[in-house]
Amino acid sequence: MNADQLLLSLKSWPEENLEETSVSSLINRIQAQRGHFRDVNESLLEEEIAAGKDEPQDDELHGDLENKANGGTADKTAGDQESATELRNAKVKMAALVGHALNEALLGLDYISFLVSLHNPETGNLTMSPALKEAVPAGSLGFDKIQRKPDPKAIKDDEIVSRAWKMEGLNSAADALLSASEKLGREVEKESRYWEQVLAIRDEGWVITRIPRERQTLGVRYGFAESAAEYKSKGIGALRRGEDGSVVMDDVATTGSLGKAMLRVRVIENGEVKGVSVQSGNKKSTSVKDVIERARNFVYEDELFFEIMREARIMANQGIRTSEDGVTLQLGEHRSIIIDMAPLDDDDTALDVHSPESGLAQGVAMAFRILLSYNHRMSLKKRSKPPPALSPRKQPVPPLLLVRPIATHLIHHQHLSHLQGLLKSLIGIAKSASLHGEYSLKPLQNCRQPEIKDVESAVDTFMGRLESEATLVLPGGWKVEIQMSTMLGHPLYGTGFTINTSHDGISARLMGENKFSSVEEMELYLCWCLERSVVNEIRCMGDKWQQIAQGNEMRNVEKQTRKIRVEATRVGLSIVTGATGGTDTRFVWDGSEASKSLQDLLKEF
Amino acid sequence: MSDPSLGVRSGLQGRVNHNLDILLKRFENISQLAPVEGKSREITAAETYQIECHASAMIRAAEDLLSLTRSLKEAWLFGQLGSELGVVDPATDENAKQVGKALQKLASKPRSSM
Repeated sequence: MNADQLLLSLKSWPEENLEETSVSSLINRIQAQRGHFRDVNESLLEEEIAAGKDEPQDDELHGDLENKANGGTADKTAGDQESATELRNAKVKMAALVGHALNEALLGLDYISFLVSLHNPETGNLTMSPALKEAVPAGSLGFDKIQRKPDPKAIKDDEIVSRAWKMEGLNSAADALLSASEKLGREVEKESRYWEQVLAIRDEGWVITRIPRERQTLGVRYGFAESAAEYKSKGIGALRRGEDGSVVMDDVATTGSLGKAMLRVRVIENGEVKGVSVQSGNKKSTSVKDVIERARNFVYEDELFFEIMREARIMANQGIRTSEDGVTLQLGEHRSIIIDMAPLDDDDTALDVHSPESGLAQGVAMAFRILLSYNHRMSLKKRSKPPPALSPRKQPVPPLLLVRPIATHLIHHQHLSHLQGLLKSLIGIAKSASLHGEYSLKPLQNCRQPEIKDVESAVDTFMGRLESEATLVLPGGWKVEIQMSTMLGHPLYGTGFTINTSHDGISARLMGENKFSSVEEMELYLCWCLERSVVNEIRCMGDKWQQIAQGNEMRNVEKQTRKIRVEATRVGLSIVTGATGGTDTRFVWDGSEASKSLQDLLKEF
Repeated sequence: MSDPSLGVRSGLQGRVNHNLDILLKRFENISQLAPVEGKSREITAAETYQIECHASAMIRAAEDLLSLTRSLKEAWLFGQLGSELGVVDPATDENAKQVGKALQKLASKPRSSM
């Protein structure tokens, strides 16, 4: 009825046998099958599968066949197999020989101790093997000197044989001595060359010490004494003796966790890379001094990047983002700066001098390096002071000051240029209405005073809080002083503006100091100041207009119904006038070429 | 400066003397064992072996002297651990001063408009 019946197996699905698939058993089985598998990768295995090689026992046979068919890959595995078997055979043979030698030595020992046990039972019994003791009772072997008649033929033979042996022995001793002297001579030569070069390195200023791991090798220390704990042990390079005695330095490619890379700063605007810093360094030279210098640079850059990441991680509240590769500083909506590591450039890429962004990137990179040295100096000072009192809690190492000063400068600069733009446009607007106005800007005011005596104070001056001042003179006798300070930490966490206004107090009551923490607020306030100053100006222009209720509207003194409203925004200053019930007419000055002056306009009304 | 290294030096001196001693004595032994008159072959065989032993002892003594020279060099090197790296170059201070002053001037140039 049913041609194909469904056959169901009611046994449970076999579980994965944990024993069979554990890593340790897998490794053993792979080693038994194909020896060491260090160079195996997917493509190799796929080729083998394609070639149909699946029985590993007759590897040598297959090896010969595959050699002609496949060439390289099978060759390699067969060759590996052969050397593995050779190795095993050699090991077995050596073990056998050593066993032989051990046996002979033990036999000799037994014989002598047996002999000795007659006259010296204690020593003899101590060294006799238990088998011998059971076989024969101790002390049953004796010896005596016998007097034999010397046989002249035997004596002559003896003499000849002895002479020959002696000659042989003496010759071999002489040969050994001569070859040893030669070898020692060569050693001395190599040693002297090695030491000459080591001394040359030392004279350059590098410190030579012993390597902590291998006590016999000298190493040159190119690390920095103030590095964090992770980098202390990485700062030594081993100086080994090469073939002809000259110094070969250990390969330093593996000292940095990121390999041979240096810090790179990129300026990104609207998603495009506008400026890059240059990573320079002799990539190609192999002289020991250059190798040491390169190693030192790499270790420095590595540590620099590590410290930057550590610091940037806790600065996320200031708009600094970290990722596995790098740090991103956000400056405004479209600009950002990315700090990461990049391998050494080739020798011919030069800094693009025409692009100011590249200059900025290079400057930032250089500033980071200087700051790391500065931080090292600071930590050295801290270490030289007496240590703090012991306490059960271990103080964590505070992150160094690297990103904060640079971010402070960049943000301050950005806000400064923004402020300058704002002031310029406001004054431009005022001027286009033929009103009087001017501004002056004094950037980084607090950095001028301190006197610079040495490296530390040179760096110190530009760290910490940055303050700039600006003075704005508006029409109507208003004077506005703006103090902008940036500090990425307590208490400001950014930029703060303190604005001091002074005027004659008539068109506005609010005077004195105002503190703002956002740029928009400051802009609004300045526009308001411009408004009121224009109102004041109009009022002083001849008593024709009168301010209504401290606002920005003015009423004509003669025609009480005539009103104008002064409005000032970022884009322009406007005067709106109109009669009740009709449409308003608005005249705007926006800073473009001089149009009607305010006075002329007012005369029209 | 020679005080802490005095112990080291006398140790090295002792080693030198000891090795020279070995070299000479073993050579003497070899020359004593060389003549072959009137000894049975067994004794000669034993003496041959002894000669070889002495020869290798001499070689070992010479190599010991070589390693001694190396220890001497290392001791000399580390007896004066170079403190050159700790010295701050005063020229950097001067440079820093100049650069700092220039930066101050540059950064605080008052920008104004008339």
